[in-house]
Amino acid sequence: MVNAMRDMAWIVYGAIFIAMAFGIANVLLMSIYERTREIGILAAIGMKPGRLVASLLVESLFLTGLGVAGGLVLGFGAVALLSDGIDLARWGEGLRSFGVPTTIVPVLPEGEWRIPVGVAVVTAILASAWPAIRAVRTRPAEAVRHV
Amino acid sequence: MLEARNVTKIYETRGVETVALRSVSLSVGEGEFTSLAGPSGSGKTTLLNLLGALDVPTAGSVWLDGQELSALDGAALADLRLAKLGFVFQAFNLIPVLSARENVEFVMELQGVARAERRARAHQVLEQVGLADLAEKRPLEMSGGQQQRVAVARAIVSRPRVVLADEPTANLDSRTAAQLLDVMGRMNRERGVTFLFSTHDPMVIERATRVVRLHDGEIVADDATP
Repeated sequence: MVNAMRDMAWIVYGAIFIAMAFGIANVLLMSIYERTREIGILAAIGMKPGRLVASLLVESLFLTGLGVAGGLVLGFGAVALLSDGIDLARWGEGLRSFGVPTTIVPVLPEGEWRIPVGVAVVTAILASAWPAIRAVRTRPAEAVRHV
Repeated sequence: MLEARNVTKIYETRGVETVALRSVSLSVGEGEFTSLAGPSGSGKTTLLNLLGALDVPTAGSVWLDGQELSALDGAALADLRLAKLGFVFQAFNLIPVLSARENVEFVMELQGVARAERRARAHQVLEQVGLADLAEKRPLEMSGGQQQRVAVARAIVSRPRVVLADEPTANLDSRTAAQLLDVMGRMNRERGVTFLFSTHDPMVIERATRVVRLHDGEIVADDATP
């Protein structure tokens, strides 16, 4: 039973990671796509492709850093606020049959936050590198016409 | 100095080919104030983009100072644009989050010009285009004419060999357009900057020292040709 619960937790964990990765990728893809024209202007006035890609990656990582910092503050804050536990006595009978206590105390074991932070950063790099390279490869004449 | 040799440009959209330029050859010399004239769809902007290394020809070649542009990679083309070319676009294309001064300074920052010199040159050029008082304004706080003058300042501050201007007066009223042409004419006479315009504005054509007329992707008349 304990093993099944642990497997279930990992499935939920994985689903959350995938949803998070799609969310980050979507935001970064859109933010670069919407700036195709600006990228075209910068290329037209002489910014090198490598520097353009680097600046877009730095910006994406900065945005991701802000999100990660906000998420960590909220996560640690929520754990601290709910340190007395969440009372689930109303569903006590059902939970007891699964061997789950009626009060759930959220804890964030030492270092556990590193995995989602790592997933967020790797996703940010992958999700912004591809559209950044694609945008930079677009001919400036075409990019400056982008609306 | 700047030359297109038998340049053809074909655009392909969803399998449909459109010939924008047909084997066009054009040579622009130092200090010219040349206008590419013609109706919409005649190939003016396409030719300007090819001469400015913003696009690549389907056939033929473009040369600047004896260097064939198609032989250069993306980084070398960026260096070339930064060092030798300035652009003025019909839609201004300033960076909206930067002030007029920052827009002008940015090109010099890419060139590696020291901060103090950047400031001094930006101030000087903005003064020349009559915008020293609006240096800290952002593009959206300025009129179309003022934005286009910032664009001209940005194009010339890097001390390019050629400024390529695509319909620079298209979004301006006639009085503002005349002022802008005065500024560019002065740059041409006093600093020897070569200007190449694409336009169908009679005022620009009238002021040009050479007019090249295009129609359906071909040059049909050129003042410089005897």
